Amino acid sequence: MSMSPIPKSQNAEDRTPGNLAPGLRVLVVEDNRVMGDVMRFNFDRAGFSTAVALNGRLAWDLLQAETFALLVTDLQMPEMDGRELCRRIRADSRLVHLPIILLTAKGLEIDRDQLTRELGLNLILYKPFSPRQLVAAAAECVAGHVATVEPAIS
Amino acid sequence: MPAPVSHISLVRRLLGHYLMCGLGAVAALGLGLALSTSGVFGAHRTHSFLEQVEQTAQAIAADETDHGGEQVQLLVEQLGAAETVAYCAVVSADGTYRAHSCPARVGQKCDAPVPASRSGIHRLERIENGRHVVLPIDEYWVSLKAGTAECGTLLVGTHVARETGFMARLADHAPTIMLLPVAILLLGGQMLRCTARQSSKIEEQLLQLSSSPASAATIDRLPEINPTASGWNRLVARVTNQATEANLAASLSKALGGVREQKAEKVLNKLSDGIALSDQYGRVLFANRSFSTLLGIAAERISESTVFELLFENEGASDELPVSDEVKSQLSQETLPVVFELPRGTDGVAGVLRVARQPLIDEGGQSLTHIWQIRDISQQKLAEQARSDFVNSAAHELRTPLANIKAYAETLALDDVTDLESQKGFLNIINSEATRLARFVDELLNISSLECGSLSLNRQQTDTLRLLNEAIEKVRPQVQQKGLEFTSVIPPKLPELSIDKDKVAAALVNLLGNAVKYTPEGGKVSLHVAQTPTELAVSVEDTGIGMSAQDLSKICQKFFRSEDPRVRDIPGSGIGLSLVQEVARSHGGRLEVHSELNKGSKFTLFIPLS
Repeated sequence: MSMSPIPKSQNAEDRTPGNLAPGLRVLVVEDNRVMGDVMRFNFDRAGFSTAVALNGRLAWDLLQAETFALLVTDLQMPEMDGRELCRRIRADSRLVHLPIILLTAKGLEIDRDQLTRELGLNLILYKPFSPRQLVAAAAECVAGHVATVEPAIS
Repeated sequence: MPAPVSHISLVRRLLGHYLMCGLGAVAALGLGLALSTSGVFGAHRTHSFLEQVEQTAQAIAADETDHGGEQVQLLVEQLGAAETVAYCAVVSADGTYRAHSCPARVGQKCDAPVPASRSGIHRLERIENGRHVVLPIDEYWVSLKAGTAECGTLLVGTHVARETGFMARLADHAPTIMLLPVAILLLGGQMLRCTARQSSKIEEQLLQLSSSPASAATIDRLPEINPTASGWNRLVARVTNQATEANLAASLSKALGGVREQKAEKVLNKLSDGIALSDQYGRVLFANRSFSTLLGIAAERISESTVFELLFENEGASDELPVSDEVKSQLSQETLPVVFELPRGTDGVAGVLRVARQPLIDEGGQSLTHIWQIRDISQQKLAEQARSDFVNSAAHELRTPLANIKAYAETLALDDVTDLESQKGFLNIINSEATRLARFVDELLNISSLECGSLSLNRQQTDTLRLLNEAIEKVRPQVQQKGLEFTSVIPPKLPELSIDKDKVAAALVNLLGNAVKYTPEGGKVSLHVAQTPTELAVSVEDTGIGMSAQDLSKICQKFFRSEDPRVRDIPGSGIGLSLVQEVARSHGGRLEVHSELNKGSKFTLFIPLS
């Protein structure tokens, strides 16, 4: 499986907005409002139905209440961070196969492979990232092209 | 004090003894020679005289027989004329002088009885005035025979020469005189021996000194029979004293050495690093106090253990040492220096020890000892961690606005954002994110100027008013951008301060910047400067978000940032306040903070006037 931060698909910009993932629910967890807004804009444009949560705890609440096809989360957030949120998801039988894309402003200071295995991530993207690539990667994830990594947590 | 000695040198003395004895012996021999010579001559004289006497006796006898004795008186007188003859006579058988050198006495009765043996030599002895005297006259008696009939006795008295008498008496002691040279030689030998014996003893001791180590040799005193001996004894005494002094000096230096060693040990014990010395089996030969303290082991136990036991003791049952395989293999090679880090849990607090092993090989390459040095690098590790945290935090804070700028710019570049309002909104966001980024870079620089050389102050006379105004000018753009109300109350006259201008300025900018950062739009920020007799108080007050009491206690810790989302939304490193506090402290001042959540904060920086 390819764990490249940059998905190979370069088709996203050619596709007509709105038909990439019609009606699929994506949950964006991001404590920076400005960043959350631009992600919502891009996902909505691509045809996703987007919800934004400001931290892990709010996201967890939403996950309990609704069903999402994809989770895009920041790592460092107040109250409940991305790490804890992912652990909870992978420990939950209903959510264990939910595709997760992790966005992080951390670079070399995190161990990418170790984190991928530990949290059962589908993809890690580093900030600053390209919104186009994020949307394309999200489309691939929901299409099952990027496999969910079995969580290694006990 | 030297004895007043007028002394003849040893050589002269020996020569004198030698000459004296030699000459004495020669003289004695000469005397003997003279004696024997005179004896020989005496004997010769006596022999010829006796021959003359004999001839006279024969002539008398012949005359008696042939001529009836008419020539007798003449013959006697002839003999009596001889130099050595005192008198001369012929005694007839009836005891009268038939002839005499003194013609008057012819016919007279012989005064001395005719000896029984009618021939030979007789020493004349008389009793005169009741005293027995020996006359210096020898008397010769010769029997006269006319044919077979005895016809009288020839009597000849000869003078015994005085010298001859002395010599004769001396000759009586001839055996003694013969012994004299021997005795003189023996005496001389004895004198030489006496003189040489001391020299020999001195030489003996000197030889002993030369052949044995100075300390082992003992020097004996000599019996003080002469100045040489007393001089030697004095020398011995001095040397002995010196030896004693040398001993004293040695023991003193030993004691001093002990003191030096103690000092060295004191110094070693004062070191914060642990120092230990181990032999080739790892047994501890020496360990200073810090060694046991750092390892958390009672000092008494150190000497009973090996260094490995001590270092890895806390790891307990598991044989796995908390060091890498590389270090293990290095440790097994005893001649290699090794440096490694040893994690240690002491009193529940994780610590890290840096352990260095340096081999110490003596010249022979025989015995191998190791110097171990352990240092507590927990603080260093914490500092490294803090630095790494800071870099990570700064990187995160830089990437966040960058990510926004990139995301919005790329989105804007898409063809389908045609709505002018959206475009304007996006551009505004990009602008504000860029501003935020620029501000954070400023803050980093500010922090860097605070941190740079934080241990040393570059104090200089500083115009305080100007310093304050410059700080205000630095934050004014942000104040205006946020639409904050800014007031400052500064006395018109402020004293010059001897401070590190750059650091204090950075601290002020940091305080003002914080106030601006954490005060929502429409709030107030004020700067209030007051002077007391001893210090200058610079207060920065805001009507911002404030802090909880819990956060307040931590704000001066490095890298602390509140969990408050309003704080989290604002980029920051969590290092500024800790540096402001450091600046205050290094200037001998302090930082006071009052804050109330949701109401605002007041930071006051106190700086001593002198």
